[in-house]
Amino acid sequence: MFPASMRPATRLATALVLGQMATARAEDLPPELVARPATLPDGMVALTLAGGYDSAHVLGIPVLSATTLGLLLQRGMTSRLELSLGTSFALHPDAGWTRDGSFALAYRAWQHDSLELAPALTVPLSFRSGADVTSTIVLGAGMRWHAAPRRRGSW
Amino acid sequence: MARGAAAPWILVTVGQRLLPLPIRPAVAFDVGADAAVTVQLAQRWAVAAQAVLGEVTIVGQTDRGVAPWHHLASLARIVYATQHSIDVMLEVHGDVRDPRNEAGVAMSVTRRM
Repeated sequence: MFPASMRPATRLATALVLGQMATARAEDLPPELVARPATLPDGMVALTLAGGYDSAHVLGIPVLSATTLGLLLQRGMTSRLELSLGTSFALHPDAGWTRDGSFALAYRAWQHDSLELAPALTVPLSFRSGADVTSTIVLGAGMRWHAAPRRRGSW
Repeated sequence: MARGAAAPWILVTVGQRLLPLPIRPAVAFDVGADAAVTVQLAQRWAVAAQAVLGEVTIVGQTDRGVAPWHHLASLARIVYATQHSIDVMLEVHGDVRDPRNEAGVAMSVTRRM
């Protein structure tokens, strides 16, 4: 499983981390997006790589034309709590780490019939020198309503 | 969830940006409204639409209020869930009131482990 050159301590640490991550199987989540829980199951990890292009104009003058790459790591900390860490990299212009990131927590607090409540806290982070560490913190209620039930396997 | 159990095919989510709390230049207290609808088209295909309906500054020195008839930040996305615990997403987003002022596209790949 591990390369022979890997030190025993590193092997142990890697095995512990992988063991921690493997408490929930990725196949445990249904393929249907709407049937998934609001937070990842305990121990499940999700890694997202995103690429995008954004443009903005003010009074017809271009003020933004940027291509970025985003990286997001989510982990189910318990059966109800999910932690997310994200950051992004500029591809064009000024390629490199944007020095921006985000930290988020979501908690699956309540569920009754087709209603679900999963409040979330999102904290933007800035690692730029001379800038504030954070800007607009967002508290979300995360009210979810499962409408129009359909039986699984009926596709 | 056991296969064969009842599962929803439309999911409505509201209040993902219920309380934006600006820190600078001064701490403020805003209230926002947003809504998202996700429709499961097939077992592995889903589409979603989301809109930020507005924001009102309740407490704060600077009015950051945004009315939906001025700006309506929205997105539309399509998601394909592969058999290998990978989701592929394609998204267009922007200000639907005036897409020339603000628009973008994004694509993401999510791997669950």
